[in-house]
Amino acid sequence: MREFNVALAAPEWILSATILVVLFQDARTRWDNKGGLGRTTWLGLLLATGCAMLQGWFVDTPATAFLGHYGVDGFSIVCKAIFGATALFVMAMADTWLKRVDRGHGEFRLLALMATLGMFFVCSVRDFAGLFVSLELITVSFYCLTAFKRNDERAIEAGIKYVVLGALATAFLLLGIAFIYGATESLWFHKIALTEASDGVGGNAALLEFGLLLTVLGLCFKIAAVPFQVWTPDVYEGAASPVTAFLSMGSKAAGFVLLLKVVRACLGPDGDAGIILATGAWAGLFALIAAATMLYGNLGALWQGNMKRLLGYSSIGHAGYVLMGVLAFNEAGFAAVVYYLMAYLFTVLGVFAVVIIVNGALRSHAITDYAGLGRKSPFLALVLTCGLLSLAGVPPMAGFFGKFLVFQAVVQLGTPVAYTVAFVGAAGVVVSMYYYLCVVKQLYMVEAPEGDTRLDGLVVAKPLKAVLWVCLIGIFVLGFLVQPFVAMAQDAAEALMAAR
Amino acid sequence: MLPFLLAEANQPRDWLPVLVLLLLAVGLAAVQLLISWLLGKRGETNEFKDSPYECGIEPVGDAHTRFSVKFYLVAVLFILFDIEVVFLYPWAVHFGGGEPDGVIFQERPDLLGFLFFEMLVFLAVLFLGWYWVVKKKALDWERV
Amino acid sequence: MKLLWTVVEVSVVATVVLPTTAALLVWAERRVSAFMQDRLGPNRVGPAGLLQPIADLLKFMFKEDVVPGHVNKVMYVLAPALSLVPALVAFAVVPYARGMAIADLNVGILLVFAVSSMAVYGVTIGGWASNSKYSLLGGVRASAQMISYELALGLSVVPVLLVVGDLNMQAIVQWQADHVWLVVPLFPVWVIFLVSSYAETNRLPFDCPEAETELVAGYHTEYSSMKFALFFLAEYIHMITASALSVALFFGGWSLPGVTFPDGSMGTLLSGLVFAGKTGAFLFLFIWVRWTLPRFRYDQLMDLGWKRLLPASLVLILATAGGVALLGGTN
Repeated sequence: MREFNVALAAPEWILSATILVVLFQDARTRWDNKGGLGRTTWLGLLLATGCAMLQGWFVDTPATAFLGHYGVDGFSIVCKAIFGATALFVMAMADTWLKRVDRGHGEFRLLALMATLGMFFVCSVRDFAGLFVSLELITVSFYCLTAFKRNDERAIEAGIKYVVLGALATAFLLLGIAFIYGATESLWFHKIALTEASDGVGGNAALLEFGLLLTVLGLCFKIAAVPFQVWTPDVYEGAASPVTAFLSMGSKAAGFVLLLKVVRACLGPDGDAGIILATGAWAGLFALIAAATMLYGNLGALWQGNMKRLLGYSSIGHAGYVLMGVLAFNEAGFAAVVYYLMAYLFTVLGVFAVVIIVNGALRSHAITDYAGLGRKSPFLALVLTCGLLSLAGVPPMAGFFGKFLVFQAVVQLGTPVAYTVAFVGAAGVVVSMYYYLCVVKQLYMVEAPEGDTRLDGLVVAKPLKAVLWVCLIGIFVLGFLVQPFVAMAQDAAEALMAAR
Repeated sequence: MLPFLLAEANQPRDWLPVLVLLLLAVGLAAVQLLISWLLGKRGETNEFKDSPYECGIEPVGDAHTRFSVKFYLVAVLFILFDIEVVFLYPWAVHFGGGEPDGVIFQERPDLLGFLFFEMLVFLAVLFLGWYWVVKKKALDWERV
Repeated sequence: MKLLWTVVEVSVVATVVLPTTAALLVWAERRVSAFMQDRLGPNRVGPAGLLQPIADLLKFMFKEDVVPGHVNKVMYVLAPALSLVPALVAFAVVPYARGMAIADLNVGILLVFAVSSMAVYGVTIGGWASNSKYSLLGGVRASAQMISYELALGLSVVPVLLVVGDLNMQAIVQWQADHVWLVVPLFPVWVIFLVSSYAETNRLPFDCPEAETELVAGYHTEYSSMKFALFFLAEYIHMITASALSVALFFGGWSLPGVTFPDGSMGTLLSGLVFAGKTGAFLFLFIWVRWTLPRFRYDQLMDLGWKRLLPASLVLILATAGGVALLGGTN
């Protein structure tokens, strides 16, 4: 515990070194010669992700470093693999997208790498100071990334909205951490459980609960859940598509990882509900947030004619589904969350990959413009269809099994609250089926207008094609070959429950 | 954790003179402003007295216009680097050799190389950031 | 009783010594510059013109207190006061004699930086509230310049801390009294400190904020009577503080090599005189430089701060740290 154990943080070291090298290269090269930056970024991301995954075999988990402030366990390794894959997929999309942009390549890659570094740290933090710093590393990077197209009014609008709401949410989070510190006299996650276990919580219970409430609300901003969900469609629409993809997967998953850690910290040492969460009020609160989020996202998506806005609302809806897994407050629920994130990774990034390619040709995100894609580019249409069906939760796809596990975890609770929220969720799924299928209908049932040749002969760059294939395969593998991945998610959840 | 790093803390009463000085300084400024208001000649105002001084040329437009974005950039960079400077202070005091903190040299000589290396890395990163800023021409004032 | 003594001490320093010194400094500046240019300077009021500051003060008091109609009234009145207050408070920890300082704090030098960096507000607000183009430009230039050189200034103190290992100003002076004046081992650091302190006080050769040929009078173009005097007073008190810091950090403060002051109040007085003498020499240097060197152009000024002094002071910090480590401590 009292060791520095510097080498344990190898993935983060590699990423940091990559950032510095890219920074140096960016300073040394002219604006029209930024190819080397891309190669360094790829190398760094591959090495860091590989290293993080190798730790699963070669590190005796759980292990800690930096006097216990940094921890590696089964949960963190799985999460890092998810984040590493996200960053790699996003980088493949960015490579294509950056070809259309003639400046700021260095900045884009640097910011994306920094966000990735933050996500890696998120997996390993063990105290609230680390939580705050790693979360801000992600958020601040995304502030800049969102407004990256600085000549585009909508991107600027998106950036400013994100900053203003983000600052508000950060204030909530910070105040919450302050209250928790006041109640537990410590920033450690595990001190919450200890404070609960001793009767020390007596006078401080209200303080602690208020702090936790603010912290959870602050994290709601990251995962795009009620009450901090309003930014999502606007930011998704305004930001560049690779950034939106990164935001919808990486940033959201980081929020969930931290939420899981905080919720875990409130559970008792043996995984029992602990004093605070046992009261039922918290389950009610989470159920309320989850239900409101699902309703808001799914109902809002019904009227969208813009693909990215639709995905924004759908992403809010999915935050609600994942929250159902969190509110189970038990190992099955947490495993469901991890599995859902894995499935969501392939699904949503596959969809975004298609969106980026199509947008490159169309220069538009209107859903009506997708008409005829099924005939003109069958493979893209197939990936998009599978992705959307998986988002909707149609059986053989990855998304179905994620939703199944989440609903199972909630229903097994057997309380009226759980049944209610499951019912709302099911209603949401039905609604979502409609708007996803509307897009699919555009792909296959509607012909492109006469003379519209924009979608003819789409060329897909190699890395992006690889992403499409991986996502397509991932969608089906996580739908058919479920067992090893469920086992992986369960191991991760078990490691999370065992965390001290 | 490292108890020998804790210096003797000041009591609040040690700060009393600073408070007195602050009050006196505010008082001094207030009194001087008041004196000139009380004793000063009261003149008529007119159009020319009320307009900004521009060497006799008629002012055009409001003075609160936009100015070069470079100034904002300098302010942002200042914040960044100033925070790094603040990080250097505690390190410098405890790495420093004089009494009473020279104890690092006597009690924990094993930490010496570590402390130096840490700051070397920190400064290298800072230096790289500075190099990037310079190369991005954020500090060039000749061209906009 | 102790409280009473504190109040007396503080008020003597804050309301008598510092403003008087500043006033004398104005006189000295005018006399010295006159001699450098083969003129006489003010010599009519009192012996050798020594009462000239008093005459100036009276004039400032009785002049019309113009508040032009186009300014932001509250800010406009507040700015000169905001400029003066930090200048005075920053003097709080300066060890002006053996065992003497207004406040003996172990955050010492940090307080000086914390307070003196507030001075930028007075200048910026003054420039903005004046609602005049010259003032605005002067105010913005001044704020950019002051924050830029604050970096180099802050960094140039780190080597001193590395050697002494204490933030307390008395401890820094005592270390120099026991060992050696820090200007000897840290000469290049002192050069950076000196240059930065000239830029911090907006003095020539770095007086771009009020460059007469470009900006009339910079941020105080629209100010008159006592408000103008307050800005002026603040600038001169900043000069005194900067000189006193230079003495305390690098030139042994109140100590003299090879001289041991007698115990008791006599020794304290003597040490205070030594400190005053050294500070006076630095103030003379301020004036000397002003009437000798031409003004930097603004881009040159920023280049010097960001591209030369900043990296140079980083390198010097590492060199000092390495030296201290190699020597195995500095006791």
